[in-house]
Amino acid sequence: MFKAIMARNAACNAVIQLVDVGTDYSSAGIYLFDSTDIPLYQPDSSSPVARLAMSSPAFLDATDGTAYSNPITDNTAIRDATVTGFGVYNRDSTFIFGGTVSTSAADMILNPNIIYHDQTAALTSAYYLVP
Amino acid sequence: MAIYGKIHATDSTHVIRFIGGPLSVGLIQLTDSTHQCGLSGYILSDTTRLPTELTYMQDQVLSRGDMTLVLTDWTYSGWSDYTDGTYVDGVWGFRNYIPSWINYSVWHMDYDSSQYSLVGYRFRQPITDNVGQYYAPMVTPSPPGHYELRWRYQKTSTVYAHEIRAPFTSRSRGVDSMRDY
Repeated sequence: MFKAIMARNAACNAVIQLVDVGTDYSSAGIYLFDSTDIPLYQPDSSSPVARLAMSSPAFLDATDGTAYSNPITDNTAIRDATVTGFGVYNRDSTFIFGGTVSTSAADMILNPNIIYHDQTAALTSAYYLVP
Repeated sequence: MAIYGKIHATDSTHVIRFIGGPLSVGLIQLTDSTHQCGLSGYILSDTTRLPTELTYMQDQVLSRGDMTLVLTDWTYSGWSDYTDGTYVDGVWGFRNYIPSWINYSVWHMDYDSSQYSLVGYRFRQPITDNVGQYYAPMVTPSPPGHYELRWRYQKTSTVYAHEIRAPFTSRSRGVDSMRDY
């Protein structure tokens, strides 16, 4: 199926705008987990490894079907873990999208992906793409 | 995609019609392509804060010899043979190395909260003078105060990244006052 760039941007913006939805004074965040069952994991009921706060808005408007994130704040791990999954949650801590984490061939490339307590996780770039 | 019904095409006028009637149903179902996301990052194993604080004038253009960083490690080099899993005929010594990536950022310290806030771009690129030797080609921030220049680098993609914080002071030229602790 082929889509116009206008349609790709619209679809992309529709998803990333969900990340900014929220009624509290918190920010959207990216949670790192040592599991890939991300949709089943909720930060309040699971044990994330770290939470990296996103900017507000979290993403720039889509161009060519791709939306790049605004700066993401570093944060430290609360425990030792091998990070294998991540989830993007909006300001109400509702899961929006997520994926796998590995040192290669994953949605998030994290080198290395073994993190120890109090080490800092830093993300240099993030995008959401509608092909 | 599934289509049920009748299609009548007239070539001469290039018109395509779906002809519906009491006994025919038209249905088109479109499936969106899979959305994708991509994120990349690294993990810092340690943060080192240098004990000395350099002082520059506000708006000073920094150059070679100002904010510098030299990356050196204890490396086995010059080996000429590889026997039974061991490199031989080499020597151990300090040697500069080129990391897989390096950048720096500038942070301003708030006097009241002692919190740091980012100044400008987060992934500034240094200039390399020689193998493993870098300096920050920046202009000292105009507001006088205390700052940190934070180097971040990763030797290879399989090892942890490091951060080195080099504190410095942007000193007023006398035009505006500088609060202190």
